[in-house]
Amino acid sequence: MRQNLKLRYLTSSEEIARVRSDSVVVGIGGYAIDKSPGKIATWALGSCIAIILYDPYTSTGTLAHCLLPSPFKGADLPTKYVSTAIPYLLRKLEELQIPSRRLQAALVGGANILNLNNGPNIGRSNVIKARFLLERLHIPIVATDVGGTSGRNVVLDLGTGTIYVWYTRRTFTAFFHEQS
Amino acid sequence: MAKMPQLAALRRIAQEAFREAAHSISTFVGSDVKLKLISLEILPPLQYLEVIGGQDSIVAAAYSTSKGEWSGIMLIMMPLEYASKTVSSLVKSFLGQSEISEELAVETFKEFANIIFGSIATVLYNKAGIKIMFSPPEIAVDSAVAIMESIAVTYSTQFDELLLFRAEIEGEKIHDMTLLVIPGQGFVDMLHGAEP
Repeated sequence: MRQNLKLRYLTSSEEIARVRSDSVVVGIGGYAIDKSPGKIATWALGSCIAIILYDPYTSTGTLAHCLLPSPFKGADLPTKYVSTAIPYLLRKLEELQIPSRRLQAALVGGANILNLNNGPNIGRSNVIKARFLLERLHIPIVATDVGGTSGRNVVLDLGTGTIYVWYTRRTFTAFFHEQS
Repeated sequence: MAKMPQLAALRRIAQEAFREAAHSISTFVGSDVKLKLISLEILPPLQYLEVIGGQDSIVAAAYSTSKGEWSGIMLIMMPLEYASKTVSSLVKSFLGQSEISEELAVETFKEFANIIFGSIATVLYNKAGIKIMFSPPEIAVDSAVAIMESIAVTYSTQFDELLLFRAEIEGEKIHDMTLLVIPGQGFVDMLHGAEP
C-alpha cells in the first residue's frame, strides 16, 4: 500500500523513546538510505536542514543533514551542503532504480536558534536553497517544518512515511516544574 | 593560526578570568564556586563540529557580541540543571521569593552571564590592554549540539578559527561548562604582548 510522507509531532518521552529505537542515526553533514521497515534519524538540527526524499511505491527513502546552502571552500562531504546533497541523493536513489519522478520531499530544520542580529540567517538560506532546487527538479515538497527558534530531532519511518519531529527548546520554568 | 606564545597567553587569561568570575559568582550565590579551565582548542568552525559529538544534552546558553578594540562573539553554555539552580538561588537571595516566572529566570541568567563576560573583559584589559564592551547577553535554552552547530555554521564563512574552552564549575556537584569565542580579525595577535 502506497504511503505518503507526513509529519507527526511528539511530546511525550515514552513515545520519543519508542520512535527513536532501532534508527540508523545520521550525523552532521552525513546521510543514509534505507527501506521499509527501517528508520532513519538525525538529532539536534539547529540552523541545519534535514532533506528527506522518499519513494512511496517502494517505501525507500533517504535523509541528509545539511549544514550550509553551498560549499564555499570546495565540497568535502557532498551531503554537507544543500546544493551538492540533492543531486548526490538523487544519484544514490537512481542506483536503486528509483527515478526522481516518483519521489516526494520533506524539509525539517533551518531554525534561527541564536537570533544573531549581526550574522547571516543560515537556517533561512538553507530552506530557500532546498526549495529552489527541489522545485526546479519538479520534486513535490509534501511536508515541511522549518524556521522558528527551536532545535529539532527527526525520525523518518520508512514503513509508514511518517516523519516524527520533536523540539529541543526548553524553558527554565518547565525545568523547575519537572524538579518539583 | 595562533602560535605558542599567544596560546599560552590565552590559557593564562582564561584561567585568570575564570578565577575572577568564580569569585564574583561565589559572592552572588553565597556559596563557594570554583571554575577550572580543562582545555583550550583552536579549530576551524566546521572541523569544530566533528569534536562536539557524543551525548547531547539540554543547556542554557548566553551569547554576546563585543565592540571596541576587538569585535567578536562569546558564548557560554552550561547544563540546564546548574543554570536553573543558580537562577533559583540568585532570585531567592536577592528577591526573597521562590516563585519564578520565565521572564525573571531569563533576566537573572542574563545577569549571571554578565558576571562571567564582565570578568573576561576585565582580565583582557588588565593583562593585554584590550578594551572591549559586550552587548547585553541573549539567552537560548536548547540542545547543546543544536546551539553549537548553529553558531559554528553561521560564522564558518566569515571566520577561520573558533576558540573552544572547556571548563568545570565546581559547586555542590561538578558540571561542564563551555566557553566559545569567535575571535574577530587580529584578536590572537593582540595577545602577543599580554602580561605573564
